[in-house]
Amino acid sequence: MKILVLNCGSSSIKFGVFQSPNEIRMVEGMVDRIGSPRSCLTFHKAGFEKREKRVLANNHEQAIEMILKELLDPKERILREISEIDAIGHRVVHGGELFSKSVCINESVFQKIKDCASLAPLHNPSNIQGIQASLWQIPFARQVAVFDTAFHQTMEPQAFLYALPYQWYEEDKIRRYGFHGTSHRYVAQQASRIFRIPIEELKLITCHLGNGASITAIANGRSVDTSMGFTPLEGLVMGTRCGDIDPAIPIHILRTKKMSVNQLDWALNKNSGFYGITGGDNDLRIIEQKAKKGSRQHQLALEMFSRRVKKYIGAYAAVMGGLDGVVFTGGIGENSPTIRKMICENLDFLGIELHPDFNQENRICISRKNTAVFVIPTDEERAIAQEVIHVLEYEMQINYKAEVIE
Amino acid sequence: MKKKILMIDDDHDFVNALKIVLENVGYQCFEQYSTAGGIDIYLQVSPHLIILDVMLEDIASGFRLANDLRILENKIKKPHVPILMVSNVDSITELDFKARVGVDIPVDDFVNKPVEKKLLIGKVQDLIRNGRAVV
Repeated sequence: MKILVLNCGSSSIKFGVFQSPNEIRMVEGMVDRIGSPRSCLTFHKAGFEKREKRVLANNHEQAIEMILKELLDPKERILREISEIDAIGHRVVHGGELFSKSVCINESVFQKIKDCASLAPLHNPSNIQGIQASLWQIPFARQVAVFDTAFHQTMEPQAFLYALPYQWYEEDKIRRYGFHGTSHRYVAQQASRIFRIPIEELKLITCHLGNGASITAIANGRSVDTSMGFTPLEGLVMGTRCGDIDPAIPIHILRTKKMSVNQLDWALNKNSGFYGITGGDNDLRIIEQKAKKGSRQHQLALEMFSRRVKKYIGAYAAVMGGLDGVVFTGGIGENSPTIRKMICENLDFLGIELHPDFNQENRICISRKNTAVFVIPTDEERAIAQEVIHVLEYEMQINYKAEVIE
Repeated sequence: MKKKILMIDDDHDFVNALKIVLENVGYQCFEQYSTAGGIDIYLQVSPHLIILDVMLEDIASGFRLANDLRILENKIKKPHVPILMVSNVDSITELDFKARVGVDIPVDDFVNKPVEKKLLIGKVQDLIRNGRAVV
C-alpha cells in the first residue's frame, strides 16, 4: 500500500510517500511560499541528495499538482500512475471535542472539520484546502484525517477545564485542547518499545521542544495533561509565543498601551518568547552562541525556557504520582544538549540524572539513574502514515464483520 | 418504455424527494443507499442515467464507484451510462467540476444540493438524451 501524507499549512505543504508494510519512507519534501512568485519545491528521495526547484504554486491545489508531477516523474520511480496512491493522510490541527482519534474522511467528517475552523482559524482552513484539492487530484484514494488534538481528548475535566464561568465551556467549548498530539503519541510509543514495557504500564513525560513547544503527561498510554491549551499559545516559552502569563496582563496592556486586539494578538504570538526576550532572535543555535559569548539577555532566555520546562516536569510527575521516563523530541529537544542539561539539573529527586557524555553525543538513552531520559526524533509524517493504516485496517475489520453477520 | 434512473446516495430524504420529482415526469427510479452493491444493481437495472453522491462511505467512494462502472462498461462492452454527480458540500461547486468532468473524473455532470427542481429535470433530460452535459 502506498500512502501520501500531506501536512498543509497556510503557505506551505510538507509531504511524504510511505510504503507499507513498515511504513518505509520513499520520499519527503515540501512546497513553500505558496502564493508567492518564489514558491519552491524541495524533493528528497530516500537514499538520494535533496534537490530544490522553483515552481508555480498560487494555491494549495497547484502545489499538490506540482508534488504529484514530481512523484510521477519516470526518472524518480516513486509512482507510475496516480491510482497507485491507495490512501492520503492529512494532518488536521484541530478536531475539537468531535474527534478523539483519526478517522476516514466522509461527508460528515469533512463538514465537522470545517465546523472546527473557528477554533483554529489559522490552521484548519489550510487543512481543508488540502483535503479538497486532494479529492480533485487523486480522486480514488481514501483520505484519513489525523488530528493534533485527538490524543489529548483522554484528559479528564479537572485537567481540561479552566476555572472560568462554566457556561463558557458549555456554550463556546472554551477548554484546554492541547496540540502536537501526533508527535507526543509517536515518541511515547517509541519509548515504550525501548523500555520493552507496554505503554499502558508506564508514566511518561514527553517534551516536544521546537519553535512551538509543548509537554505532555502520559499515564496508562493516555494523555492526562498537556501544556498547550485552548490554543497553542499556552504553556512553555516558545520561539515567538509567550506561553504561560498572568491572564490580567493582556487586559492591562489593552487599557494602558492603546493597543488593538489584533496588535496584542500579534505581540503575544509573534513578538514574545525567545524573540521577545532576546530582542529579535528565536533560533536556539544563535541564542546559545550569543549566550556563550556573554550576552546576558540570551542567557536569560535559555534559563527562562529551561526553568519553565523543569516546572512542568515536576508538576506532571506529581499529577501522575510517579515517573518512569522523560522523552525529549523536536528540533530543540533532539539537538540541544545544553538545554537538556539545564532542564534536568536538580531533578535527581525524581530519579533524573543525565550522563554527560551520552547527552553531549545526542544518544537515544542519556540517563544515569532510575528514571529513563530518552532523545527520540519525532516523525509526524510517519506517525500519520501509521495512523492511516490503522484506520483502514480497522474499517476493513468492521466491513468484514458486517459481511459475516449478513 | 420508461427511461430508468438509478440513484446511489446515503441521504434517504434526498433520494425520496428525487424519486417523487422524477417519477412525476415519467421516469422509473431505483435507489441504492451505499456503494456496496452498486455494481450489482447497475447490472440488474441497466439504467439510462445514474445519479451518484460524491461522498458516501468516504470522501472518494463516489468517484471510485464511477471509475469501477466505467471499467466494467469497457470490459463487458456496455454503452456509456451518463453519471450525474451530486454533492452536499457547499465548498465543492460546479466550477470545481467544469474543468475535470470527463477528464480526471469519470462523470458527466454535477449539481449541488439542495437542487432546484427545474434545473435537475433539465440536467436529467440532457444527459439521457445526449449522454453528456450540454455545454
